[in-house]
Amino acid sequence: MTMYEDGRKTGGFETDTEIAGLTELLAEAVGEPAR
Amino acid sequence: MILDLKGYREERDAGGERVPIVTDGGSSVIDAHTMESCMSCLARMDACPVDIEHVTQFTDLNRRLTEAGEMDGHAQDAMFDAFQHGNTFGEPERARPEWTDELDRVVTYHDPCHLGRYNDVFDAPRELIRATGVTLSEMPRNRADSFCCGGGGGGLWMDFEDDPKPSEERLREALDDTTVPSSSSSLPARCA
Repeated sequence: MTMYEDGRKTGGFETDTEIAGLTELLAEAVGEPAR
Repeated sequence: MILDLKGYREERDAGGERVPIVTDGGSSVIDAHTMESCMSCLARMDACPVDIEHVTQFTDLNRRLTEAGEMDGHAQDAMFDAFQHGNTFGEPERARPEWTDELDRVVTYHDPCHLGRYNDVFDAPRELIRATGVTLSEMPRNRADSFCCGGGGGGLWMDFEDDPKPSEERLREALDDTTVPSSSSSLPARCA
């Protein structure tokens, strides 16, 4: 996650993609706010 | 309209009374509703055999109507919404992405080296991803052939001299080399 958040910023991908952890996807799917 | 304006100027030269150029109510040289007949497409100006450049004049007249609050009601509402909400639909800005709710979300998954190559766990995370209802699209380098993010072996705390950095190259792969279904959002998210 840290590496890709960094690469997203330095590589100029901020408007093209977002980085999410698997736990974030799961939390979103069951309606719980990600911590 | 141009002939009406010309006639008015001639009347004024002859000592005629001053009246508003454009307004709503019938007392002006040009009635406000007449302005609705021109969409400023420039076709008539291009075709005019005597080179009358009326569109510039029409724009000025429309500006006067706007300043006086006498423009078409629908156009006035749209302009008010644009001013108030930033869009002509009058919808709050936060509601703008709601149309994407019904689109499939496409994600791609990065196999962490230690979970995948070291521990041979490839399917479980993919099953969980699909269970959330998103569409999983694989990058060309996946599973045991996954490209490293560059964070292992202390890379997390080091500055990379490579250009692009491994993480940047992986993101490029996710965006440029990964097939996205045409019916889906074209913004893949990544799980790391």
